[in-house]
Amino acid sequence: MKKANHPVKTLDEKTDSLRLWDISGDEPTNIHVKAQQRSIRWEYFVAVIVVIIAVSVFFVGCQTKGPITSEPAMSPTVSPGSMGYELFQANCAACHGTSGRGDGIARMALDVAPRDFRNEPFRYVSTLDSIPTREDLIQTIKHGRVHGQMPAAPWLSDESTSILVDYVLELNRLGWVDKLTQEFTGDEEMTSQDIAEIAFERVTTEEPITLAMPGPQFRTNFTRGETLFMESCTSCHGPSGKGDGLDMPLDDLGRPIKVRNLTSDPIRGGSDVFELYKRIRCGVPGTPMPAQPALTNEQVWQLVFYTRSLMGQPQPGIER
Amino acid sequence: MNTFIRITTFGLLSLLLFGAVQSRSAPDKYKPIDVTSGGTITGVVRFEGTRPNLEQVDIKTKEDVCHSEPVYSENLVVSKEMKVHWAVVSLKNIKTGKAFEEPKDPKDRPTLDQKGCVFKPHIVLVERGKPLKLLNSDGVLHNVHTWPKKNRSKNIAMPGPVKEMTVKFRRPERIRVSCDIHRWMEAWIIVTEHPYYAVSDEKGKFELTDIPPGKYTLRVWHETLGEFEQEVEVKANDKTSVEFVLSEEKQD
Repeated sequence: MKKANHPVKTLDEKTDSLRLWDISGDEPTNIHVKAQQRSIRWEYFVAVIVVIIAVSVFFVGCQTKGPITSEPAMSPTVSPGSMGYELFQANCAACHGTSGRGDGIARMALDVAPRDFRNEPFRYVSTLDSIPTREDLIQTIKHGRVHGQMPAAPWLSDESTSILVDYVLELNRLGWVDKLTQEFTGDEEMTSQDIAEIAFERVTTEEPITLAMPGPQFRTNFTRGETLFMESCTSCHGPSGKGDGLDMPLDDLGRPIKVRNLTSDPIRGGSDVFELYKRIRCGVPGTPMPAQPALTNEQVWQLVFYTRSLMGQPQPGIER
Repeated sequence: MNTFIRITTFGLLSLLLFGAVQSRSAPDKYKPIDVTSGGTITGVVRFEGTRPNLEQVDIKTKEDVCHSEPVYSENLVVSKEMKVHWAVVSLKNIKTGKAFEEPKDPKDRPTLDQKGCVFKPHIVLVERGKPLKLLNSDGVLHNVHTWPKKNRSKNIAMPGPVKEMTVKFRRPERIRVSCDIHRWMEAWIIVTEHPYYAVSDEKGKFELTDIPPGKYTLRVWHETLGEFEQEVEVKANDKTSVEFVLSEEKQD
């Protein structure tokens, strides 16, 4: 693993300018300078170069405005040699694949398909619009999703983790760019710029939840919890939480999945009360499990403790 | 050296200017204007071919409310007179015209109900950025799972006691809606950028009113039959009649 010496920001700042060059495909124009004779003043060369740059920038600008081009989306954040790339190859690629498509070499040994960062939503979120916050991803990387076979990575520094978060978000964004480009090529009402905007929106949450503690009046109430469970959960998780409520459930990509048996299955997102709160409130994107924006804070907490009781967990106080 | 600095500064400034011009030119948005002596387009959507039978859905769930009435698939509903229900007709690329009408009675606001384990109506029109009312008349858990391409995706639970919620969509598009619990449930939310949209009724009829006179492209879209267009001319205070003929062979 290569050591990270320079800060991430440098990479980010470069992003826009580098991207323009990637699209235009022009070679650096300095080559022409040497071919010229010294008899002409060198300032003119500079002027010529500046004009060439201006013109090519102008045309690149036109390209992003015009109809959708099917050029593959490039990004310095994920290109070989970048910090993110090195960290990803060293820590994640074995399962998630070198290009993050969930097709790593270790995949065969796993019961759970590793996430395809380009084509799948992230599952464990604390938002109502199915998009993870950076903190959600940091948590997944640092602590792992043990029951989902993703190991914790305590050896990663905060900085490395943050770079990896940028990296997977960028893979996801580029995945959207590709998908949308395929979908809308030939659609005169859509431009490359529209696609860039939509793809950016798809990785930028607008509705993070605040994880509010129950009020001082809160008491766990088994009957209330059970009623809420019957109203909101049994359709899929079954009346006793055994995961037998839904016939042949599918994920968003149409693959068969299992509804969690809350009485015996390990909970992949984590079974502490805060994680349960997030799953119940925000749902699990990419699966049939919906968000529950209509429930009150108190109702979600009742469901958290009722679910804990189904798991055979002792009823804990609220503590971290 | 001075010349160098001057040239470079000039170059950089012109770059910035180009960049600014490029990123500023936003796409033309629809502008509402006063439409006096506007014209009307009325029409009908006809089906050509063998009339498809209505398919009754085999409902496996035990919830009584889902068995209150027989449920039929609404993916392709053709009347005995061979008219197509649930086709969306709209003017393409219209940039100016009447303003959206704010319904006087809040009950008339765009609404998607879940009743008898069916989305009602099958197709609902809603202005971009404006609230769409979601109702649950069934008292059992439904989830409104949207499958947008341009908007953010949502999957919202509506447990029995939750009777009403609202959602908004920013970008115009056709969004498929499903319910994971009752998998036969399907609807389409059409997010519109202008008010010249209509859904054909059970007789295949539609009407667009108060259109500024001029030449337009009229578009029809049907979830199973696909998308078709034809040119129309709208004259002041006049009615233009249009017929769309849709068939399964023409589908792209």
